[in-house]
Amino acid sequence: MLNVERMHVKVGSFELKEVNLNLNSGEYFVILGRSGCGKTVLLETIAGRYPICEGSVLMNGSDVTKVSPEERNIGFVYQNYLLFPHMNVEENIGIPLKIRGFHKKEIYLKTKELMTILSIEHLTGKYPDKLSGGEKQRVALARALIFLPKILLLDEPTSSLDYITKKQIQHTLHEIQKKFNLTVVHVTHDIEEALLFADRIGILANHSIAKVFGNSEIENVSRADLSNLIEKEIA
Amino acid sequence: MSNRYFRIIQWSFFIVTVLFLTVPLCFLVLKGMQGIVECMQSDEVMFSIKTSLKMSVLSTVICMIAAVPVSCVLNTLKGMNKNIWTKVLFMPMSLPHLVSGIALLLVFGRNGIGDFLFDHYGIDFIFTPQGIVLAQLFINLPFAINGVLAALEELDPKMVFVARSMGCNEFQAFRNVTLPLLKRALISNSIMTWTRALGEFGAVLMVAGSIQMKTEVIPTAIFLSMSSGNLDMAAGISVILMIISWMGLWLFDRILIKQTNGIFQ
Repeated sequence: MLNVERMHVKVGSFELKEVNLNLNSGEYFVILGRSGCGKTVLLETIAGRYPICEGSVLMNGSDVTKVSPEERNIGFVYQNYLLFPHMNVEENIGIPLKIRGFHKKEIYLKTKELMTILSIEHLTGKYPDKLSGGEKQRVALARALIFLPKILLLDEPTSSLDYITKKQIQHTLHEIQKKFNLTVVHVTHDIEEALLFADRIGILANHSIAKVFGNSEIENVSRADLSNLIEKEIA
Repeated sequence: MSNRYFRIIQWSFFIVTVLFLTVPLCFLVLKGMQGIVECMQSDEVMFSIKTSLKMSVLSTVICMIAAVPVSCVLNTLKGMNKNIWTKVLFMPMSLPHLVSGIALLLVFGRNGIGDFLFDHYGIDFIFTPQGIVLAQLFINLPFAINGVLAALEELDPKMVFVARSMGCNEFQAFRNVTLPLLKRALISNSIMTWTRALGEFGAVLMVAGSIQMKTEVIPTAIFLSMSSGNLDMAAGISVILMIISWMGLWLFDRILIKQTNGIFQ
């Protein structure tokens, strides 16, 4: 589904080297790493924000290395949501469809449907500055899902939420991924969260994916042992 | 220093500054009110008011239309490139307006491309109303670019990237995200540009001259009245200029900035 091959990207003085990632369709891949190790840069590069110096990014076998972000069909959710402050909740969610030329009625129906799935139908007409962190995150998720992306990239989606909201959003993410059969790349520094979701876990350290823990390790090794192993890799 | 003395010093500065900035204006208003009726009855003054309003609005519109794409380009540049181009574009800001006027005169006059423009396109800037717009544009454009650029730099570039990732091409992202987020900055910049254009004197005088009933704007009318020793008339026109500026600001605030909380609120 998503293949990143020997990717080398430079952003200012920061760089990621020889990054290799192979994701299967419907897989939930979590990337763990320390703060500042380049997790966000990796996601943004996959989504097309930064041009890569070497290597390639393939989606469903086709090379998208030089394809512009709008043509990659990738959903992106940032840690700080980045909802458009001048649009209300429906407008925020509906904007990808509006861009694609959908009819107003169709946008309305699809927006309503997704708002119901994400339990945010009561937020109709509200502007982002009136929403709580959890509500903003659900709206950001809806906006990223409405155009049915092939891949969903999540940049620490729960890190700025309180414990209860975090658990609710984690549950929602899990449900959504199953419902839409999404291929997800989720970056976080929270090992517990990674173990909760991941089909596989990649460790980003020393400017590259240093190790990938496969499905068998996640399922067969005890949580405590796996946590220790991951901590060692991150360190 | 004790808190009491510190506060006394701060308040002293505040009071002196308020007096310094308001007393001359109060004197001008008192003096000018006597001459306002005479001004309103003068065809020349009324012509200068109309010309000022028309030209300042036109130059403001052109200024803002040009400032937005130029600022967007500057915002995409990085490091030295950005530094150099910003300095080049902001150069007129540091020049006396008379000097800017001479520079425009050299380029758009007979010694520059003036003849060519007139022969091929029928456009003449020197000693014509078009020259007023040209001078106001030259003086105001760097300020407008500076204002829009500052607003663009405050904008989170990730916001635009999110729009791109959900399917917007560069223009759609600009139209749907960047432009609405710049709305407040654009409105306040337009106001500042318009008020500066309304009061522009040096460059306008150099390029358009002060031909009665042709290129006379409010500042040149004030200058001509002072030159002929008619202080009452000069003060009267000055008060009219102040009233127009304040009414303009108030109108902008009521009509355009209502939804973005207004600059006076």
